[in-house]
Amino acid sequence: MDIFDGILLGFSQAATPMALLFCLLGCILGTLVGVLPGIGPSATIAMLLPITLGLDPLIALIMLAGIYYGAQYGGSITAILVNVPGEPSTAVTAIDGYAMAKSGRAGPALSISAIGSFVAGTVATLVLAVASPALSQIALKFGAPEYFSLTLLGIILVVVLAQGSLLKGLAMATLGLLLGQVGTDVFTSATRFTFGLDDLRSGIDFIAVSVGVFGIAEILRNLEAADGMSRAVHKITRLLPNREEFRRSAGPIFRGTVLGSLLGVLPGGGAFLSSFASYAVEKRLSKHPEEFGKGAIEGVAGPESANNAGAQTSFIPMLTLGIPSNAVMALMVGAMVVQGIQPGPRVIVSQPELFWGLIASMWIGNVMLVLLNLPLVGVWVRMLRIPYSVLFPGILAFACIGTFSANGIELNLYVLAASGLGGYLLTRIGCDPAPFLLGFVLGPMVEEHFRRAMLISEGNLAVFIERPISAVLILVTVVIALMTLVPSLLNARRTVFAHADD
Amino acid sequence: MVWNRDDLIAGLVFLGIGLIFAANTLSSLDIGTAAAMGPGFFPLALCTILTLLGIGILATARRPADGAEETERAPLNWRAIFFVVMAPVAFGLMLRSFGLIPTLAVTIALAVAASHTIGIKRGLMIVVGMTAFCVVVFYYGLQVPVDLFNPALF
Repeated sequence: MDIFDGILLGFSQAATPMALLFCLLGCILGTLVGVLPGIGPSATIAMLLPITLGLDPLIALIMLAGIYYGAQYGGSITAILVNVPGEPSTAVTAIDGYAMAKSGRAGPALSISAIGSFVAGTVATLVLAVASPALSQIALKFGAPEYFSLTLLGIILVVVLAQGSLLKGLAMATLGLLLGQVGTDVFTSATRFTFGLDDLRSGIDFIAVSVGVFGIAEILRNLEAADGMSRAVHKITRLLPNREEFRRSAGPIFRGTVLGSLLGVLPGGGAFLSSFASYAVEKRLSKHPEEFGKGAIEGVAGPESANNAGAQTSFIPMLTLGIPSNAVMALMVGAMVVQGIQPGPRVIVSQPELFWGLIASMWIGNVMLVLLNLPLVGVWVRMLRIPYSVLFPGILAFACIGTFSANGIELNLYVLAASGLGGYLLTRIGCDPAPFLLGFVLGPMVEEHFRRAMLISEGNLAVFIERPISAVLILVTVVIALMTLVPSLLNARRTVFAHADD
Repeated sequence: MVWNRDDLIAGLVFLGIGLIFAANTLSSLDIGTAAAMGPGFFPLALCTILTLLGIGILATARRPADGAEETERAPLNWRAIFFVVMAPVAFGLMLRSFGLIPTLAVTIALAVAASHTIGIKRGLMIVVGMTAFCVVVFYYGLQVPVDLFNPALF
């Protein structure tokens, strides 16, 4: 099937009334959680996973994807109007966007951010449509050793780009892999680490863990600070940018789109990294770098395009290899698994309507978001007045019912409480939960590939470096790990010596 | 040289979990050989890596004192932690014996108790409003199969 047929098939799947409705629902929810600080797309997607169980797989994925990219649009509204980035990926937008709002240019900042996001979303969706089938063709030739090495590379990249130290990130990923082992071993049907609990035979519930680590832990983090503060919102006078502003934004939108599309594919990259990279590039290229931080429209146009492009292309490794590149994609893999779909390169071939339908829905969703955001910006701004103290009891109740309704097991609520507390305390001592969740999702897969590879090679570990593709993947993994580890070791030595001189 | 408190705790946590799971693996699971792996082989490998990483974190936890080492941050809010963690636990304990409405009311009341800025009157409004909202969404809307009240109680 060529790309043109694929896109046609996709639109026929994504333009059904049901698909359109859930796409819209996802976009609205996404914008909402993007606007509201204190609840992000990861927590929302985790909490909505159980609800999507009853839906058709494509419809479920369309809605969950809509939440993710919708949150990128919503996050920029609060970043610009109140200087509170609703999402980490819009943190840089707040710098110049808020400065523009203070000088009465909130409207143009919002418009450029929506237009940039739309252009970037459209281009990135095309990139997704072109790159994914090609990549999955390569991946279909992979055997167990290649898959194992590829997963290792994916984990290392997420660890390297996570917050905090490399060792802690690796430890969190390993802990995730280990907890992913709980349950029945598929090869021998022995039960592992169930500690006598029958409900753990099928493993620790993915939904309970992800809602805990993101939803509950996020509530605990937010309650550290004073809740219920009110915020000053800047007025919007003129909405559309003038000719000069359009002219200055074209370049940044184009560069942001390219940068975001590339960085989004990298594991651990996605929207967050893209927006920071774009801001740095625009500042360096600008003829007026002194305007940055004081309301340069380039500082809004670039990062906003980049984060949306990155959000779209971060679907590529998930859809083609079954390897999630960030926490949200790990949740999407989880959503596919609970729907009975084995993520991986076969999805495009065996379920083309799912793959192309999702891609088409992303473009439709981007159109919806532009239409939703610009005229309705006033409605979203009003949402900001809801104090967190009213919001979080509701979030907590939703988390509980959602987790329970997925399969009606009480134990999952205790898992929810424990992973919320554990996730929160570990974050406080500098351990990022993203590598943990990635390890947890990939745990069973990693073991399966490892054991298959060992069966083929009769227990010889050299199989991973004797096969060329696997060897390259392992080499890249080692080089990346060393590149991050060595400078920090050198720094540590340097500080030791510096102090020895005193 | 001083211990970095965060690294010290993290190192001990990972070391401890690694050892506990390793002990459990060795005592209850067949390890096998690399060519014919038992169910315990891969878990034991992971435990070993986790334990080593824990030791690695501990080994780098002692650093030269340079004044600005410990970052300032908000102290643990024990009240919030207690009530927020108790909410799902209460939900799990109560749902089957009492039904959805009493369970939701208690869960939301626990959440409200976690915040020190919500007064009694406002708290009651949140409990009633949110319970009603959740019942409409989940019971009537999404048709989650639970009783509103446990029929055995009445």
